[in-house]
This record gives sequence, structure tokens and C-alpha cells, in this order.
Amino acid sequence: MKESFLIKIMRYFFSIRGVLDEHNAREIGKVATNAFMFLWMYTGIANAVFLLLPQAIKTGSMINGFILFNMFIVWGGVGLYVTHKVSELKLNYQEVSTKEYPKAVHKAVIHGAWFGISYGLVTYLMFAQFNGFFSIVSIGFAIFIILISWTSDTQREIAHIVKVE
Amino acid sequence: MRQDDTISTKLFRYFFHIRGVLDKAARQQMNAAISKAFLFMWLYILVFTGGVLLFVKNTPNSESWMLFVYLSLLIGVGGSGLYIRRRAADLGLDIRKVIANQYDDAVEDAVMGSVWVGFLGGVVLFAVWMNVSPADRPFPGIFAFLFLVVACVWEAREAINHIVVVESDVKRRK
Repeated sequence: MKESFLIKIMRYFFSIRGVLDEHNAREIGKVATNAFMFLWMYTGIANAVFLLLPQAIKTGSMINGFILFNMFIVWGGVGLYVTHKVSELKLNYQEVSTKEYPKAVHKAVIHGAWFGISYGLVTYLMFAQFNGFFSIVSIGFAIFIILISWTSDTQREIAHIVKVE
Repeated sequence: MRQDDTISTKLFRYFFHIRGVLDKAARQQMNAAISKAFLFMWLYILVFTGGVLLFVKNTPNSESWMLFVYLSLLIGVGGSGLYIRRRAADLGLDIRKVIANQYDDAVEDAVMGSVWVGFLGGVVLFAVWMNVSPADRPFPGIFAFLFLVVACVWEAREAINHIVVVESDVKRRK
């Protein structure tokens, strides 16, 4: 079955490697419905409530906090929920032949790098709000997070590669 | 099938006016649409929030930051919501089929459902209105009420338009 571009991106971001047969596609559909409804309602309600707050308390730091909280909910909360559900369905396992194994490992390293860069960028943006964009602390901590995320994601991805005959 | 629906599916049906039965083909199509809408929203919020944070230090006042909130509502909530409703309409899932003696109940349901959806939409519109131009907002109470009434009437009209009276099985057999 031909998959759309967005579904391919979804596979990449949430490490969905397995074949989406009828049962799996239905389960992923349920997860996507839960995640979408939460995200849709959260975004609608949180932004409307924020708009209704008195003008006096909507200071720069308050708006900053609101934006960071949004990022935390979307990236951490919803992203982790989908990844956890994909893992429960065992869709993050990739079956490869012995010959294809090195290529799969290489892909896992690249995936880990993207994962690390994304998390590093988010961390950098958060720290830069408090310490400045050229602060050693912001840059240093971002590099630390990139390395940790890269390593952990690559390790997890490689652990989910299964060699089959 | 409806009794097996999860809370999020029930909310989904309610907010996007999905009245029809979700058979296998319709469910597959809707799942694909929801997956696309979810990913769009997820990526949109992440990329947009990241972009906003990059420019946070250069903004002179907090008022221009409200643009972030408006765009989240307009593109995130409004855009993805319209896309789902459009897909449901394409599949004919927003049509509710009832027999003649159920019509009045269906209309009552449609009005009640629309009041809630219209109320929430009206509150959001009101919140945006109150923030767009705080200096020259005349009679905010009247505008709030008008927003709510227009949103409720619009929703109710849409819902009632999609109620179709069909003949009952007994009549058809005769």
C-alpha cells in the first residue's frame, strides 16, 4: 500500500518500522485519534484561556513560560505517548537479513543524530531564554544533550534491529 | 460499534459532526486523515514554537507575542479542524439518517450539540476579539453575545441540514 509523505514522516519520527497490516493500522489509528484529540483540545483551550487572562499578567516572562510549557506538552507528553504505544505494539522492531544489518545500523546512527540534534536544539532554545544565545552554559548543555540523546536513541534503535535468516 | 468507541473517538465524533457509521473503509480513510492532521499539528507546534523562541529576545513588547497565540488557534486548531470536517464531509460521514418519527429528536440533538460546539467556538472568537484591539472595543458584552449566537446558529443549521429522513425497514418491506 502506498503511504503518504506525512505517514512516512510519522514512521520516521516515532520509529515505526514494522509492517502496518490491518490490525496494526487500526491500532495506530486509535493512538493517532487519542493524540490528535488531546492536542487539538489542549491547543484550543490553553490558547483561549491564555487570551482571556487579564492584560496585566501577560508579561514577557509569562508568555515565555506558556510557550515553553506548550513545547513540553507537545514534545514530551504527546511525543512520548505515541512512542510508548508504538513500542507496546512492537512496531519499532526492524527485521533485516545478515547482509542488510550494517546498513540498518548506519541508518540507526543517522536517526539518532537527528533525534539528538532536535533535542539539543530544544534545550538550547530553552536555556538561551535565561542565559543568552551566546552563553557557554547554553551551548555546552545543548551539546551535552545532543550527545546523550544521540547515543541513547542509536542504542535503542540498534537494539530493535532483529536479524532474520 | 458506537458503544465500543473510546472517549477520544466520542469527542472526535462530537466535535467533527461524524454521525454516520464508521465501517471498515470509512474508518481506514478517517484514520489516515487523523494521522495526517495529528502529525501536521505536532510538527507545526514544535517548529513554530521553536521559531518563536529564537526571536524571543528581539521582541520589544509582549503584545506582538500574541500573534503566536492567534496563529496557534487559526492554523493549529482551525486549520486541522477544517481539514477533518472536510474529509468527513467528503466521505458523507456528517450525514445522519433517521426515520420520520425520529426526526424531531434528531433536530433536538443537533441543536443541543451545536449549542456546546457554538459556545466553545464563540468563547474562542470572543477571546481573540477582546485581545485584537483592546483600545477600541465597543460594547464587549454585546459582541461576545453576538459571537456566541452566530456560532450556535451556524452550527445548528449545519447539523440540521445533514439530517436525512429515510423510510423505515418495515415500510420498505411493504
